[in-house]
Order: sequence, then C-alpha cells, then structure tokens
Amino acid sequence: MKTKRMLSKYNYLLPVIVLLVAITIFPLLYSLIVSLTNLRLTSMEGPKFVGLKNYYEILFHDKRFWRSLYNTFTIAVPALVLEAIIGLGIALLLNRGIRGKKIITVLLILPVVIPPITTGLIWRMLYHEKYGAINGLLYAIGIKYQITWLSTPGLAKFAVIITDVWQWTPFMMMMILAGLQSIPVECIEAAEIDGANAFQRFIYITLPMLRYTIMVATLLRIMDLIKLFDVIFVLTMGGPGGTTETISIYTYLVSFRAFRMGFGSALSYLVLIITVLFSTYFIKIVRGKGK
Amino acid sequence: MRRAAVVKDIFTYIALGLALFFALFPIIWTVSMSFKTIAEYYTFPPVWIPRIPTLDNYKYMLFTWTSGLKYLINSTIVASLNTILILLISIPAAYAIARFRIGYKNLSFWILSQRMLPPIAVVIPYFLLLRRLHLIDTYWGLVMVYLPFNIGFAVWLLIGFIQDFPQDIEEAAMVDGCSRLKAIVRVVLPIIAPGLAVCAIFCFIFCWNEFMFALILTRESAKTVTAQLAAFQSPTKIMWGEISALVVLAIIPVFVLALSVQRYLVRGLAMGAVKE
Repeated sequence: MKTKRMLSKYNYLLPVIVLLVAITIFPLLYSLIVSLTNLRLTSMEGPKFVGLKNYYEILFHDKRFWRSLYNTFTIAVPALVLEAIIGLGIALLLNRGIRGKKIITVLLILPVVIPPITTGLIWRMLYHEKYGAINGLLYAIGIKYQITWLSTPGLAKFAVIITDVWQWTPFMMMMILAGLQSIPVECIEAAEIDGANAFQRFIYITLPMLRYTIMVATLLRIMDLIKLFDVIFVLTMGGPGGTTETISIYTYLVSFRAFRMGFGSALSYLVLIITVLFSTYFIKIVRGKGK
Repeated sequence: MRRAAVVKDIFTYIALGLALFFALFPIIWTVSMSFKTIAEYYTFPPVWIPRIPTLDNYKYMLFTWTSGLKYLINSTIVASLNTILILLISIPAAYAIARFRIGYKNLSFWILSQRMLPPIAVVIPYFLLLRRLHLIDTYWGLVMVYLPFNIGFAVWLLIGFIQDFPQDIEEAAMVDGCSRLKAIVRVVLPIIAPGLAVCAIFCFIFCWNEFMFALILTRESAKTVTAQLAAFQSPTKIMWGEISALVVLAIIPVFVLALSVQRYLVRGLAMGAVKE
C-alpha cells in the first residue's frame, strides 16, 4: 500500500524527467559522441572516430577559438560593469520616492522584453553610417564626419557593448530596485540616528544588503553574455576582421556555414563547460539563501 | 536645507530624463522609420518625423503573406503549443516538489539549471537529430526544443505560487472525499490561476523572442518572425521602412504581455531567485 502510494507520487514527476532525459541528456550525449568524430555534412564519406583530436586542435592550435573567447570576455566585462553601475544609479534615483516612479519604471524596462533580434536591427539602423540616427544626431550638433560604427574594428566592439547595455541595464535596475525595497527602513533610520551620513549609509548598509541581489543578477548576466549571439548576428556577424566574433558566433559559423559538425560539437562542449562553472556557482548562492 | 532638497530633486529628474531618452529614443526612431517612404529613410541628415506618414510598410507586412503575416502566425502557433505543453508538464512536477517534497533539494535545481544551458551547446545535436526524424522546419520540432528552456523557470515559478497557497484548503477538500487529483484540479488550480497566467505569459514571451533555434531548425514553412527578420539582410538593398514595420509588429505583443505581468517581471527574469 505504501509503496503504491509512493509510486503514484513519483508519477507527478514522470513527465518532466522523461522530457529532460529525452531533450537534454540524450542530445548532449549524442553531441559528445559527435565531438569525437570528424563529421562534416559536406563530405560524402561517413564520419570517422578521431578521439580527442578536435579538443586538442581547439585548445592548442586554434587561434580563432582563443580570439573568440577573448572577444566574448572583452565584450562581457565592460558591458556588465556599465550595466551594474548605471542600473544601480537609476535604481537609487527611483527609490528616492519621486513622483511618476511607476510610469518611469515601465518605460525604462521596455528594452528588456523585446526580442534581441529586433534590438540588433534597431541598432543597426541607428549605427548606419549614411542614414543612421546616431550620425544624424552628431550632424545636428555640428560633427559632420560620417563615422563607420560597424566596420571599424575598435568601434564595432564598442557598438556591440552599447547595444547590450541598452537592452540589459533595465534588468539590473529592476533587480536592484527589488533588492532596495527589501531593505528594512529601520536599518537605515537607525544608522541615520547614529550619525551616519548618506554616503556612509550607502557603503555600510545599502550595498552589503544588496550583495545577494547583485550577485544573482551579475551571474545571470554573465551566463547570458557567454551566449551572446542574436545581436551580433545582425549587427556585425563577427566582423570586421573577427573583432566581434564571440564564442557562440564562431561555433555557429564552424557548424552551420562550414558544416564541420564534429569540430563544432567540440567547441560547443567547451562553451557548455564554461557555463556549467558559472551556473554551479549561481545555484550554490541561491541555495545558500534558501537556508 | 529646503533649497538643497529642491536641487537634488531637479538633478534626479534630469538624470532620469537622460535615462528615458537613452531607453526610448531607439524605439521611437524605429516607429518613425516604419511610417516613412523609401525617399525619406534614404536621406541624410535624417528626417526625424515623416512629413507624410505612410501605412504602406505595414500593409506590405500584413497583406503580403510571405513577407510578414505568415511568420507572425507561425510564432504565435509555436509559442502557444509550447506554453500549453509546459503547463501540462510543470504543474504536476511543481506540485510534487512543493507538497511531497520529492526532489526538493536536488531535482528542483537540476530542472532550474536547464534554463542556463547555452543554446549553442545543444543546437548541433538538435539539428542532427531533428534531421533524422524529419522534423526540421516543423512546428513540433521547434516546440520540442523550446521545452527544456521553459520548463526550468516554469517549475520554479509554480513551486513559489503553490507554496504561497495554504495546504489546509486542499486537505479540507480531500477530507470531504475528493481525490488528490480532484483537489488539485478543483481547488488548487483555480486559486493559483493568476500564477499560471504569469507562467504562461513568460513561456510565450521566451518562445516569441527566441532566435538561434528558429534560424537553424526552420526553413520556410515553420519559420518564425525572428528568423524572418534576420533574413531581410540582403546585401543590395535593405528595406528599412518595411523591416521597421515588422520590428514594431514583433515588439507589440511581447510588450503588451510583459506589461500585464510587470509585477512579476523580476521574479520571472531572475527565475525565482529574487522576489519583489
């Protein structure tokens, strides 16, 4: 009787477990096997087992892989820092109990919810050197030079960072605002009575109490930035000269333009490993909070 | 003292005004583009507000089947099917985790971690497997690959909603002779209905916004609006006005949906790790 009841309780979880095994574990094992072969969709011969050769090639001989990793992090770090600082700033301003807070917040979060592919297209129009709005605005204030935002190596990376900041700063702002609202007013008031000035209250009370929220938001953003694909796909497709080729774009080009599926699978496994490191840390933090 | 406060307020509004300009200008510019004729979007310095607004771009997107409307409908179908399946799978799972505490410690985090899976890590096996199953460019192929990504936070959101709901009420129903399943359907679900709606809306938005899978796993008949938007990149002539119209049409539904769950946006985006 009791085992029968236990069984029926596990039935509730059966669909989700079947689903996860069939749609994530099995495909991941499948691609692990593919990553050990030289599968190419363009070649007539069948795939051959090559062992760890793909991984060896990537880690020790593939400059393009290391460059794409470098690009991913040199886009992710400045974007993240800007998003955190601006997001914190706006959240603090909104939290001052100003009028119109609700409507301002709604308008500010608009970029977060729209499809990233539309973000890419919108910014591609803005950056256009001949007809774009940014050069148009610069023209209006007297800078007559037409800047080629997306085809100059240094600028293209900058353009990608700004686009990410535009879309994701509101996310940081929302998270921090939620964190700020959970800080008990008494804490701040007590510090005020003890003679702490606004700056001290911020450094010693507000910031430490926001630590968990900021950590969670940062880790979520890091994992998103490792995946960065959609916006670059329409803005630069990795160019010019590979300066915005992130790890996801590189893997895509190898697998679906050159159709080197074996090599691409090995690359994708390395991306997976990097993400798992961050997500393990994320889960550890969220769990710690639960206790 | 009072003067200092006024100065502070003025500074606050100026800073927020700048933030609003940065956030909204790109969208307003795109909306303006969508009402421009070809002569107006190919000029420099740019025309900020179209002199004679035209609806031609919207007409082209909505009344020429293979330019926009078809893909908006495809996106709707894929997102709706996925949302229904997600609810069917995640309601019992969330209930079991919240009430029976099965897998409360490990399974729930494993489910959550699905959301963090990088799409590029699974898109290659999905492509190879769906090709074998002849499911490339079908609704069901796309619906299936979106499941793991949505299940993670759907289960997490629902665990939260079920835990907020007192157990006594459903136990009372069970004492009155309801089976547990009946108690769930008749008592629990109606009460957590707002939570279910929030969960459904997040699933829908995720599917609607997704791009990489749609790009790689569809060709023409199941192509979604995001994949169609990327396909406009012809090197010769870029139809900015028409693209802007489709961008606006793709943004409106998600914006309306997001507004309706605005209160839960933080919870949804942070996968339940932060609650407001």
